[in-house]
Amino acid sequence: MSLWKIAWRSIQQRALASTLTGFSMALGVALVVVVLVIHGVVERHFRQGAQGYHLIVGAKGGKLQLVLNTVYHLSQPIENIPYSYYKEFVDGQFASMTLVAVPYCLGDSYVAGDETFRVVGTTPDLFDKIEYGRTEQGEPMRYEFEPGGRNFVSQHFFEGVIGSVVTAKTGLKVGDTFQPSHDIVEEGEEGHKHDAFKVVGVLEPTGTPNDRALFINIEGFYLLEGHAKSHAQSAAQKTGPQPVAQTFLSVQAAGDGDVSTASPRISLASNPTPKQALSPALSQREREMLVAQTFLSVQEGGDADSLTTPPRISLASSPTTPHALSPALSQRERAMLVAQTFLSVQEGGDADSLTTPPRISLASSPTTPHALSPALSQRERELIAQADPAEHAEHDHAGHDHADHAHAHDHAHHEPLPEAQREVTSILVLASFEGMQQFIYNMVNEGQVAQAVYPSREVENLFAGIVGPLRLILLVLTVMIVVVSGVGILVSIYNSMSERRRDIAVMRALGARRGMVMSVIMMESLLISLAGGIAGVALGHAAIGLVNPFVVEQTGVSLGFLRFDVQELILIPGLMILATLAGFLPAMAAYRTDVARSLGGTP
Amino acid sequence: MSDSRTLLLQDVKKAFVEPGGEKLPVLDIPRFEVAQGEQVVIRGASGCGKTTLLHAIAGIGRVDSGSIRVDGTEITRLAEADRDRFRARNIGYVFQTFNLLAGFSALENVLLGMTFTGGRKEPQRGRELLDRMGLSHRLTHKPAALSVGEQQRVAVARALANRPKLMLADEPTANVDPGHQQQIIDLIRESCRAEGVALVLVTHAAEVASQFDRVEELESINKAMVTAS
Repeated sequence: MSLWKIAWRSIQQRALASTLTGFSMALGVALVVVVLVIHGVVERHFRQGAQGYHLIVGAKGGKLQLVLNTVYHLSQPIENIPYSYYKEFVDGQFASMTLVAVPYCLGDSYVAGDETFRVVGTTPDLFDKIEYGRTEQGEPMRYEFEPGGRNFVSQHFFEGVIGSVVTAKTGLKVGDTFQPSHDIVEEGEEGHKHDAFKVVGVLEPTGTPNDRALFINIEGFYLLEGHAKSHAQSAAQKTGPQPVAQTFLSVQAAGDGDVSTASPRISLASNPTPKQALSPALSQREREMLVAQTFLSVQEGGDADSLTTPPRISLASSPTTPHALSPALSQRERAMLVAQTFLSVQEGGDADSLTTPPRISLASSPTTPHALSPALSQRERELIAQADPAEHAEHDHAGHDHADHAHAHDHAHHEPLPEAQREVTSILVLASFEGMQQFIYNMVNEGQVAQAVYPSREVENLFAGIVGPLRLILLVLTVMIVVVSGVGILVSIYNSMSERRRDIAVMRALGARRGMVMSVIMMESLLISLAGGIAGVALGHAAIGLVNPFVVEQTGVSLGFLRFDVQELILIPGLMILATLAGFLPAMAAYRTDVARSLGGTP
Repeated sequence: MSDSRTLLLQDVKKAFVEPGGEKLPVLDIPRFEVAQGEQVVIRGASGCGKTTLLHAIAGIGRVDSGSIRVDGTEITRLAEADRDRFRARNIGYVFQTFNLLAGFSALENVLLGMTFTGGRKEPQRGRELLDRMGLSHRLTHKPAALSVGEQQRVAVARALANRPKLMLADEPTANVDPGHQQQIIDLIRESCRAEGVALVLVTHAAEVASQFDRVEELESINKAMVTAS
């Protein structure tokens, strides 16, 4: 009979105490395992979330917020940047360095029951040209659609695809329609509802945050009520005329002729709230100055050849009361602007370069039906985006509820929103080759319009700064529970020593050396600890397995029942050391047992 | 080791130190010896140092001075661990209170005796011994499920497990009901004879002592008790 068996026998003898102490150890270890595995999965998930592209470009401000919004569909909404900046990546100064640039328009959400999912206006490139991760073998993982689905098509404005979790939670499937709500709303709150989009594809689960989002055609997104306006509005509030002018000036200054192939665009927005507040938003003189400056700079900086596309000017006004409308832009202002524009273009560019005529769009977006007709004069409408008048009329009278006529959207009838009225929230940038992203990063961040961030770096910072310490605290707490369990084992064995003194004395009388009886006690502690530890690992993984469906449903992240964290291996030596320490005190008591006295009988 | 004596004590002295610092002599044995295979009974009243003497012979308790040779080995000079190992291999001990381990079956209690020898392990011998004790049907029973007589027979089997040279029995029938006392004595004596083991049996029961050829009064070999009282 081995010493192990002797130890095991005495554990059996005190079955209840041994089981209970072992169980407390199991609970402690289970908690450690849960913390390790969940943190590991969260970390992997977070790191995996930002794969497939190098940079995120967005409005200057919080870097982490930009990443959280863009990659993880979390955090408060952020500001936008001009669409023209996106175009810099498509055919502008960054184009040669960029392999793929995917615009993101954020701010809408889809509410189903008590669940809210974010809606992203984007291009099909997101799913066609960007991979969402790599397998452990390094194989790229590409977005796939569940059978019967497909990616949305640029030409079909009101199409969208949805993540796997969205399907699971809302029941939306291919062929269904959904209405995004304006603004990201709190749970349960009903936001302003938009036109309906048709689901043409459901993404296969990716284990990324995109499982929880809906993706709609950016063209459809722009046509949603309030989007052109609100973006223009925010631009006006944020930048004002002066910064806009500066921005374009700086673009001109920085870029050489080749870079300025993309034409500069100017958007002038005014946002009057009361009658009197209108004209101060942009004074007559400011507008004139701004336009003049801009075109001057265009003329100076770019040579004639580079002006392949004409400059566009958009003037957006957003009156909230009927009376506030007409002052937004007077007839004279408009006429002046148009005249100036053409003048400047004629002066600067030669005839050949003017391949397309300049366009001017004036968008207005009133929020009440009555505000409509004054908002746009007949002439303005013609001038603007050649939108289907019948459809506009329909919108006018239908108010906010578009559900009934969701299918009335015939894609063919829609004209894209003029670029000048567009904005994007962020741009995913995949550099044309490795290393180039640093140039883009530097150039963007040196400019005044936007910032570029490395999502992986932000996630790294997030983990180093917040999640890491949090994990450490949790680990310390759970490890302390394990240590307390170890103390429990110590107390349990130590308490049993008085009743076991005779057994130990008998063993000694039978020839057991002090070291042997000491070992038996140590082994007892080890067995309880390790059995508890093994049970704890099983328990921890079982618990993870149990909550996994719930977690997948909530987050799209699969924890994986059998996903072991490498750090769990530390548990083995850790528990052995703990068990040795816990067993040491009672083992010393066994060591010191006075055999003659403990054997009983008379001296 | 041509010594024909299994046990030889010479000038063994041991005293307990009272809490007041005063020394109370318990053992003072000028000479005591047991020949190979010899069976000796030591008689004495309770509290006159019987158990202390057996502990000293077994090497469980140290003595203050003197020489104790078991099968030619001077055990007083052995380090504690060596003494333990020596005891495991050469001395069988039957306690007054049996001292079976409650968590172990009858067979396991016997095998326990083999665990500490640091060498030979003969599981089959454990079964044979219990068979000889008439307990072949009780191998897996825990002590609590055995009668008192059966428990003591397991204790005897355990003492014999390692083929000792010397068996020490401390009042082996004191806690056994009178009907089974003789059976136990017979078992011990026959087993020792069969295995060629010398036996030192301590008892205060006259009917047990009277069966032995050699009976020693403790007072006559232990001078400490004489001087003390």
